[in-house]
Amino acid sequence: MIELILLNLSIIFILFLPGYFLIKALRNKNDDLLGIETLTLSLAISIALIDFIFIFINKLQIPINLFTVILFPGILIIGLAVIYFIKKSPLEEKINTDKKDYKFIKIFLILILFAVVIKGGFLLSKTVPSSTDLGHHMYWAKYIQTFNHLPDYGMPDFIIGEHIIFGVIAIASGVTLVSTMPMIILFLINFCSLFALTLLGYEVAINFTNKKNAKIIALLVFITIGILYAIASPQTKYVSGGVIGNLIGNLFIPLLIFSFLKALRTKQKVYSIIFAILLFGLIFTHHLSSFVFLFISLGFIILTLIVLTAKTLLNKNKLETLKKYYSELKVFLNIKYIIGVIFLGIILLISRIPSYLNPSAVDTAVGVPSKATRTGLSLMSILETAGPWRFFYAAIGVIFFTIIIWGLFINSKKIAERLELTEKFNLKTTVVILFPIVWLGMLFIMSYKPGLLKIDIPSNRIGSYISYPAALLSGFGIFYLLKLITGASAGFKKLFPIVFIIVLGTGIISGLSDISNFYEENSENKTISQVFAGSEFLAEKTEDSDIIIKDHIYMPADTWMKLFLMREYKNPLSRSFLKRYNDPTKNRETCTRDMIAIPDSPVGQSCFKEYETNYVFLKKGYDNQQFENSSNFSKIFSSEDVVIFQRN
Amino acid sequence: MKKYIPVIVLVLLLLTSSLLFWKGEDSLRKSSQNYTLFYFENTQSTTNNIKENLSFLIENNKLETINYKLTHLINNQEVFTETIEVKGNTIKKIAPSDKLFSEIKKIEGDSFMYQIKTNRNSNNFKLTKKISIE
Repeated sequence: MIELILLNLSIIFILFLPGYFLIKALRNKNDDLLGIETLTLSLAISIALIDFIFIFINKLQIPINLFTVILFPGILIIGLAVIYFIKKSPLEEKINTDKKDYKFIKIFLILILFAVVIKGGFLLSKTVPSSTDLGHHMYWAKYIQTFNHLPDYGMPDFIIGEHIIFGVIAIASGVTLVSTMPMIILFLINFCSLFALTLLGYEVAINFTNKKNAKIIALLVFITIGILYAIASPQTKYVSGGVIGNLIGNLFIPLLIFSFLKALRTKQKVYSIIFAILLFGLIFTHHLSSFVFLFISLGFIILTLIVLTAKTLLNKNKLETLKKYYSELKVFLNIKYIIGVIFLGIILLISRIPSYLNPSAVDTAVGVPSKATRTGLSLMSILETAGPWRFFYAAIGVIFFTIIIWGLFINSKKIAERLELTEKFNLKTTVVILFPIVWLGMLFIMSYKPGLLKIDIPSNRIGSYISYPAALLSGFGIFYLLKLITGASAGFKKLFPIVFIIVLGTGIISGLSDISNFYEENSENKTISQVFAGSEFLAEKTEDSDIIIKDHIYMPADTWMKLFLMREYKNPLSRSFLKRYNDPTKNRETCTRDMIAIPDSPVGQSCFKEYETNYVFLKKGYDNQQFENSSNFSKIFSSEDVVIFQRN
Repeated sequence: MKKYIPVIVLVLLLLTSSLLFWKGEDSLRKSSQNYTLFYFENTQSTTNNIKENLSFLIENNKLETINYKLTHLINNQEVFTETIEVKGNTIKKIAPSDKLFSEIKKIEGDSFMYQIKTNRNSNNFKLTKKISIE
């Protein structure tokens, strides 16, 4: 119980308070959507700030321990809280609840509760730590906890922002990383990414339609991202699978777009500052998400320039139009802001350069696709990844957005009236409409025909990002489709209930089909406990110099062994899936396969000597019989499901 | 009302997280009560104390008492058999008996094996290098 209280307090202290007080200290006007904006931004900003703090203090060679984990975030929180209370105006705190809001609040809370039940219900059966990826990541988090400094990975696969928050919360709370703790942090991140997209939906809509419509759109976006396809990747399955980088990326990317759009609309500096913090946070957290965001931004800049140039050329007073655009961008294009961003970037890059920013890592991601898995997904695969129903309505959303931008471009009153557009063509409306289209479009090209953009990254990894812009656009697609029907002639209006049932019904059938295995107790829990017991045994009985090999094919939770041993990242060695040893492009080592598959053969024995391996950890019933019969190995540990041999 | 929405949502998320954490701890505790471990004690010992090197432990995480038939084999020859009772949630340390020592002294070679027979499966433990017979 005390452990649980400490964990919750640590989560609030590390993952919410720094961001919360930064927003409170800097925001002048509160037009937050039900406070969800503050909650979501608090989490994302806190992740980035905690990363910055510990990257910086690590550079100063200050140890990361319980004292510093409380002290430095504590100083930041108190400092920001003092600023907030000094400038606090009573007006800011006064939030009036409109009667119309109650209906919206009720529906939103019910939807949130529904999403919690779906996601929580699925995760209840995954609470025992066993995910391969999460095991790898948590080794580095425990490295921070054990050695009190940040690791130098020596490989571009890991980025420090994926591990700092876990290490810091483990230190602050005292809760072991071999628990559900990492997964619940990912659950919070994933859930807030649903809010992030909902906020973005509202922010996009509020720029060209009225508040009522924007709220309905926000609810539809929440349904399409948070309730439908709520289990499939990159949603709850990524949470249980420990795909940290993508989950944080899917929180940061919508919030980056949101803070950019809100800075343009409200002209509040706080959102441009948040944009910069989140941008650096993303750069230090996940290479692929940063790469995706870079491509989206490039596509967006090019398309926006084309549209704005065309409109400017059509205008009589071109200079005046350009001046107007510049004044709208002033919240970003001002000298103080630019110097501040450069300064933050320099400080961070001096403190630590992200491991993927080296020529060889960049070379492997950019260029002509080098493998079949990198040449693009089929249309069907993309549909499956995005959710077929969601993708269909996203396509409708794209059509409506194209009509809206065209209507604004030609200043069509008919379109404005029919689609209830409240704004005329300007930089803001162009940006808010183009960003979602470019977001979906770029991801579609990157995953369907990556060769066009010279991208050499596994296409399925890019494809997993597509569901967020698809959900956003499908929210708009559904809204405007229903709007057209309600706004049509009386005969058409009668069809509304039927259309509504068809739209939602097909969505429920398609989007909730994956909750059929809603709660299924993991039958491997017993074996996982034995893997942990065997790992504890090895940690106690063997020396740091001993080399261990384990079987990844059949043994569950095998990557979590590392957290018990805390030796080199590559010790224990691992017998991987057999297909991995057959790579037509290069020769792969095969000793990790042969040491387990043919231990007594000359090849196997020479591998044992070459790798100086002296312990073998296997699941019972899978390749252990040959070790039982061999005179070269002795069994030193056995349970009902796992077994450990020592080389004689 | 509006002011409390983020607090309500945060509490809801933290309560769900707490439930997941509690469930995880409970599942690990329950699943670890469900198996028995057999392992050697101090496998890294550098001493030639045969009792220390060959003693091993049966850790019964189950709640019920389990009876094992322990067979000592030397070069696959059965030399001695005894019954071991391991109570629930206890660790039983087993070392070769005096009778076994006298048997070992008569054997040349360095291979020694324990065989533990349970109701469900058998566990053969073999240790070769660590045996020293004077």
